Parts: sequence; structure tokens; C-alpha cells
Amino acid sequence: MGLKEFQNVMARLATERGYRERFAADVVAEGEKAGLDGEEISQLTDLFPEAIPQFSRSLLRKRYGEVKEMLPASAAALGEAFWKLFEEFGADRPTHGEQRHRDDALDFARWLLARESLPKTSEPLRQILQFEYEDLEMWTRKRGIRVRFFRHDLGDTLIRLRNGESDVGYHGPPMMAVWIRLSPAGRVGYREFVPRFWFK
Amino acid sequence: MSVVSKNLNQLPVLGVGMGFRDVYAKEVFEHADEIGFLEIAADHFLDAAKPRREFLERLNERFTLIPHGLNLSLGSAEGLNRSYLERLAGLIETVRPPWWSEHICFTQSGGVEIGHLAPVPFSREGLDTLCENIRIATDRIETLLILENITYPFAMPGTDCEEVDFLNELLERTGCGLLLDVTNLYINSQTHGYSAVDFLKRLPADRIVQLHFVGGEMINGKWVDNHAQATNPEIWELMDAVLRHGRVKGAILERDTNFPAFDEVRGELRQAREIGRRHRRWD
Repeated sequence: MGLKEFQNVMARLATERGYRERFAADVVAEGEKAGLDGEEISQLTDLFPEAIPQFSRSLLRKRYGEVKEMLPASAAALGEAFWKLFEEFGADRPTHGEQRHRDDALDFARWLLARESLPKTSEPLRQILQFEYEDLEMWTRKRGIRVRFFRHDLGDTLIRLRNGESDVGYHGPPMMAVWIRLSPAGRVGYREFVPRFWFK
Repeated sequence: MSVVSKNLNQLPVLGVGMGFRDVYAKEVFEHADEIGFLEIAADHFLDAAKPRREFLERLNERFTLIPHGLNLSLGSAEGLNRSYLERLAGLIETVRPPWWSEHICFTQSGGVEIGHLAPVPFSREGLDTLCENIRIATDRIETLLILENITYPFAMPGTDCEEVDFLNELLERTGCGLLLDVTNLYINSQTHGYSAVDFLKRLPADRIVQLHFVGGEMINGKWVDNHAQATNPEIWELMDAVLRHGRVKGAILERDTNFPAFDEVRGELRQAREIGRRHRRWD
């Protein structure tokens, strides 16, 4: 087998948990199925059960670093659970596309929002995630206006999260967020509106 | 002196700079006189919308910018990422840098994007693959390409020679310069149990154009290049040896996450500048 075919196997081993587990269970059978020769199978056997899973985990960890930068407040709010959830999400989902880190973050946020329960289950946490998702997703649109209502003033919560606080409980009045993009070459404009007076 | 060495010798000395990150967008302008040059992650500026392009122009007016590719996949046996190459070429035409850089790795194969840098086997076939892809890349982009060493947790199956010999032959055959990541060199030396200084002595001094440095971290007994820590004393020490040995034109602090206050960044830039001055690499 040539380098090209071998790299195809390595790429799948690095990014697909199911494939990796099948391989780990029987390297010889899976190696033969993939068309590897005896020497390649023997070299791969030496890399299971430790090196290949560690390699995959380290690649996933680097991917996680990029996603964390794109969803900073959600990451701060979820703390260590953010990595555990990303590990579960990313185990069988390779990145894709030219904007792969942004798309990865969007897919992950979508996946989290679709879950019925999140660690630290709370509506405020879900709202922070929803806000970061909408904000990021707007950059994928060539043009358009988006209006979303949030139950509390997320601007305040985002500041507190960036300052290292982890409490994402209810704070302040409700908020209306507006994103606008007029052309594919232009920036995404953003404004938020909160009522001037609100109940304490 | 070979033609390649002469050409590399004529490159401008840029001193010490940093990888540009948006989180420091304001600070880099405020402290521009302390920053010799900026390295920009190409992916952060490819297909940029107008405001981003305008910001790039502002950066380019104030600093020498070095585009750093992440996804060209020079080590892919199925061929490099052609669409990425075209977009990268556009960015390099805009920025007009003295050199640009990419990694010695593959990032995609068989329609699967790995999501990060994966090693190529140190073998004849690995070398031929890289040389062919680099030939295509350098035919398209005439600006000098420098190649970066990456970390590898294990020798990729198929490996039949030492990394340093592989690297030397790659530089010789392609005429490229070396972007020596000092942190990666240190981590690899620890992971694979060799002397980083001996490795360094076997590299051609006139081919080391640029350095990367940042802290590594020991996680579960293994060194990890997570670019999230201040530069470790061991890496400063190795950097001193590298700057004594190589005719380095510039060094970049490559912090990617867990960003500290900018004063800490300035401190690291100052320290790197001092080491280079001591070895008369820059003023």
C-alpha cells in the first residue's frame, strides 16, 4: 500500500472513534480490510492501544482550543464540562470546509442547543449559548437582519463571565439583540436594546 | 556559499515579533515600537470581508507581516490543497512579505480533514511527496517559503530515517528555509529521548530563517505544545543555543490561547530580543 492509502487510514483513525475502536479490537483484520501490508499492520499494532488514541485526543484538544475561542462565554459558563461535551461531540465528527473552525463551533453550539439537558442546566446558560451561536452564525450570511429576544441582559452576563465569574443566573432586564449585514463584503453590525426601567 | 544560502543571507533581519491575535489588536499598535514584525495566521485573513481587509491594510502599513499557512497540507500524498493555495497566493500578493511559512505535515486525506497538523513519515516516499507539493506551491508563489517542524507523538509508520536527516534533505532538495519551532524541537527531544542541542548542531546554520517560541506544558506526564503558557526556562535555554548556532532573521512568540496581560507578552519579547542581541542576530 502506498503513502496515500496509508494516510487515508491514519486520517480516519485520528478522527473517527468508531473506526478507531474497531481497529483497536482487531488490528490485523481491520488492517487487511483497509489493504495494509504485513509490515504496516505490524507498525500500527505497536501504536495500539495507547499512541493512536492519544494522538487522536491531542488533535481533538487542539480543535477544542479553536472552538473555545469562538464560543468564549459559553466555555467560561460551562467550565470543565465544555471540554467533556466537546470530546463527546467531536469524537466522530471530523472538521470540514474552508472555515472549519467557525463551522466546527457552529455545529457544536447547534448540538449543545439540541440537547435536552446541559450540565448546570439553566435557561441563562442556554441563552448565552444561543446568543453566541446567533452572533457567529450571522457571519455565514451574505446579508440580512436578525432580531432575537433574550430573557435577561446578556451584555452584563458576558462581561461577568469574561471577568472570571461562573454564575450565569438571572441578571438585569430582558434584551433585544439585532444583527444586520448589508453586503457580503461588509461587517456584521450589532446593537442591543434593554428597557430603561425594569423591576429590581 | 550556495545560491540558496546567498539568497537566504540577503533576507531582511526582522528581530523579535509575535503571532498576531485579535485579542491584542489594540495593544500591538500601542506598542508597535517593541514589535519587530507580526506573523499572521493565513486562515484568519483568507476570504476576509471588507472591514477585515481594511484592518489587514492597517497592519501591513505599520508592520512587516509574515503569512503563516495552516492548511496547505504539503505532506498529503493525494496532493496539496489547491483551493487553499490559490487563496493563500492572493493573500501573499496583497501583503508582499519577505517570506511565508507552512508546516511539514498533512492535514487532510481521503476527504477527511484532520483538524490539525499530522506528521509525515520520515521516509523516501514522505520526502518525495513533500518535495512535489512544495514544487507546486513555490511555482505558484514565488516568495520564499520556509518550512516548520511540528511535534509528533510517535514516529509515523513507514519512517526509516532520522528526523534531522529528513529535514536536511528536504531543505536541500526544495531550496526552502527553515522555520525552527524551538518549543516543538524541545518537546520532540523529550518525547523521543534525544539531545535537542545535538539535533541543532546537525542543522545547516544558514537555513534557519525564523523561529517560533512559546511555553509547552506537561500533561499526564507528556509534553504538549498547546501554545497556552509562558515560555519555559528549558525553552529559553534552547533558544539561546539556537540563536548562537543559526543565522536567524526573526523570532515569533506564538501564543494561541490562555492569553495573558500584554505586559507579560512584552516581557517575553524583551527577553527574546536580549538573547538575539547577545548573539548579534539583531540590534
